[in-house]
Amino acid sequence: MRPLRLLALAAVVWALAVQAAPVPAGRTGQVVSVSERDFAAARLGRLGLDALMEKDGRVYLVVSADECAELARRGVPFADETQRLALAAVERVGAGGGVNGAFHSPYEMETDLRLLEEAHPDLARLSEIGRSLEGRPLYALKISDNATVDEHEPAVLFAGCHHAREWISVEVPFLFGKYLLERYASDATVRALVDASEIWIVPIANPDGLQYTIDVYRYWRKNRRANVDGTYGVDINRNYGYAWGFDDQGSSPHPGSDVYRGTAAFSEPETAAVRDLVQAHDIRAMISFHSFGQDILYAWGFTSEPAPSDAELGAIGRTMAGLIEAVNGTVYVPGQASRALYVTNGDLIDWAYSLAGAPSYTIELPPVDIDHGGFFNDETAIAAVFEENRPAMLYLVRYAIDHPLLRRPLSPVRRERSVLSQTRKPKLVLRQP
Amino acid sequence: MERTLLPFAVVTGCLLVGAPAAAQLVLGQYEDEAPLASWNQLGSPPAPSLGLGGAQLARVWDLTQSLVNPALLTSLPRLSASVSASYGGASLDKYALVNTGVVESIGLPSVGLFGVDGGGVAGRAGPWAFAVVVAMPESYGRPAIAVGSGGYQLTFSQTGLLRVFHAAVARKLPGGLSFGIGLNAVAGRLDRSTVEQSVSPGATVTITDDKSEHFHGLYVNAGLTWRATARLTAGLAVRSPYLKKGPATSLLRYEVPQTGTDIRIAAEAENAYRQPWVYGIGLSYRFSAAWSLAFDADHFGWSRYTATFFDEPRERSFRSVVRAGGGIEYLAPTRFAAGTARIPFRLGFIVDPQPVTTVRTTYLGLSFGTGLELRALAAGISASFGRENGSGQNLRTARIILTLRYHFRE
Repeated sequence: MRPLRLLALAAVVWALAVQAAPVPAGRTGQVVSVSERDFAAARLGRLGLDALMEKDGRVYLVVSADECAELARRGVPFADETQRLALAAVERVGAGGGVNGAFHSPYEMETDLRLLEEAHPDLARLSEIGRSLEGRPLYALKISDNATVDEHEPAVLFAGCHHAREWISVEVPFLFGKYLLERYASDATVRALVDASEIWIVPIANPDGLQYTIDVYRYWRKNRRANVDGTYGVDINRNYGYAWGFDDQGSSPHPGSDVYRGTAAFSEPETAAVRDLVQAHDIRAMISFHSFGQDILYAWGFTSEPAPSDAELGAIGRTMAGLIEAVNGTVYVPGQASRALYVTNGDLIDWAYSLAGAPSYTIELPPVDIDHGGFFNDETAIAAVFEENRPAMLYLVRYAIDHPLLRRPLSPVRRERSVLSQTRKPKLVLRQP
Repeated sequence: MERTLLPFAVVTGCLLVGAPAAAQLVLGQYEDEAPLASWNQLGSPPAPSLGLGGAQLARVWDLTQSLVNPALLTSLPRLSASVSASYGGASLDKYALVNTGVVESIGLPSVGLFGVDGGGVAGRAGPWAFAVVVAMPESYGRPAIAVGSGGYQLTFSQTGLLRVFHAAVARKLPGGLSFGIGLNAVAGRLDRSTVEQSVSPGATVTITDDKSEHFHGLYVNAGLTWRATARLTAGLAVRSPYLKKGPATSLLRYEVPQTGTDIRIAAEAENAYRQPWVYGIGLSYRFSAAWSLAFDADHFGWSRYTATFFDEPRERSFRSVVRAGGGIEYLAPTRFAAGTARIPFRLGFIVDPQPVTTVRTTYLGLSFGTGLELRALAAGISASFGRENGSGQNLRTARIILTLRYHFRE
């Protein structure tokens, strides 16, 4: 497994290089490793050194020339890892890429999640929470101290890629998990959050659809259910069990529609897997990432009536919007989903909120509109989008730790009758090759 | 100059300037890299072979059979030349964007192609025989798509082919045996392009997805024939597995000129498709000077097929299959242009199961053939008609092959 470990280290260095990780000004970015014993004996933790990770009995540090000199002055033996890891990072970059560039395919995500788990065995546990229609594993990464033990701590869920074409929604939750694991040793804030909670990362809720966007059609949205009428796909963010099929405006009964809700609530294995994960843990907050629009949306989506804790949901949303804007000025607009965007029923946040009042949000990531990329994001924007969302995500984890839930499921709602709408497929015209 | 050489040369020239596309029997299914035909491609059968259900391992008609069993070369005259062209039509079920969720066809899409399948020359010196053949056994083309109205337009195109450059040597052995071996270099390409454009008063959004693959590879084929009796001949052939691989490029692009948005994701990689072992056995039995039978069974080891696409392994749920075909031939003597000639009549069947396990299908076909064998010149024409069962779509296929063969004087 040594190559995997090397890859993990390389990924760390590479991430530092390309994602402009916040290395303090004045540091050279040189990576050195010291043994854990020497690290503890010399009390290096008190120096505020920028620790990347712990691996194979060694602690990897990003240090400046002055800090290097300090290590030498204290007589701490250290090894310069910069060149070795950079070389491995280059190899990693060469092995990645593909049609989807720096974005993850399901296969690449599986590889990277396993690398994270292997690099942080005490903090990360990768679970297969189900299988997609086409048999791809659905993964959840649990991040907590003693990750292999169920400590019944407050849990927070960050999910991505309910909609296949929203590639950026895969990256933000994944990078958040990566950030937590790699900063745990060196960042007291991160450590406190991870120690007091379970953070669940489901970066790809719709792997079949994502693969289809890579192989065949970039703008595919739904999963790959073969419907009875010959069309394909259920919108899995219209397939959750609260207010499912409430009306035909917030979802569609027609299989050909892009917002087809399926034949029944949780009819899709992808939504059933997320349901089971949520119900098995004390989920106190969650974010479902989507794109595009730069919105922070909260319940209700199925009705324009306010949710019972509308004020609290709004306050949290506004706080998160403020934290995001403070990073580099990008404006995300908070609001009740049905009012701020459009009516949806059977989506994840309404259902998750209905269980016990957990603050649940859909964050529509950049760009702001179709003229600036729509469901496309430049590869170089991945890191920036994550960085601007990171403070809000950390805030929500802290909020979940500090605030209990309503602990009372909300009443189910009855389906409304309304005029059906149908999305027609384009008529096909063929030419001979 | 033999009088029949001129028509052979003229027709061959006409065929060679035809469209460079392959016409093939049935639809390769459900994967982009599938040949536009059966997955089970083995050589490029000449018209007489197609008329007998594709049987070509034990009975020689044409030098292009060296692509399958080079041992047959020892049964050809001292010098011969051959060329085949064909027209094929097939209905399709699912491919790329069509009937997979993006656009739905009204009825099944269909495709018809005309092209030169292959040709070459062969010679014999004593117990030795040689051949050089160029063939185009696989085509990856699909019907193009153009949908949309108003300010919206979606287009898709996929083209591609695979050529085989084949050189073989064979030798007669004692005991009615012959052995032959061939070296085959393949080269080809597969290009796909999807363009989606929306025009609104404020902006024109264009999304482009281009993928291009080039292939090359090298494999060996070998064969053995055994003339057991004056009536019975058996043939055995094998094709080595090989890697069909080559550079691939991809470009995803999102453009909105009015806002200066131009997002590109470009990639380069080495794609690879591991082609399986193929081995087959054939029998030919001659009842009389006029009547004969031929039968082939070919095993394709698709269960070990792998595909690597832009550095990622692609899931391919395939099974190994055995394709079988055979038929009966009657040669009717006649007179033509003040000379003796023979008119063959052929009737055959084809059972061609496909390797894809997610949609289990088998093509069942009938074939017919005739022609004219006039001194050194032989012309054959055959047609096959097939129907698929298993998918519920009842896909249909048709193919017509014309083969011209010229045997130079001994």
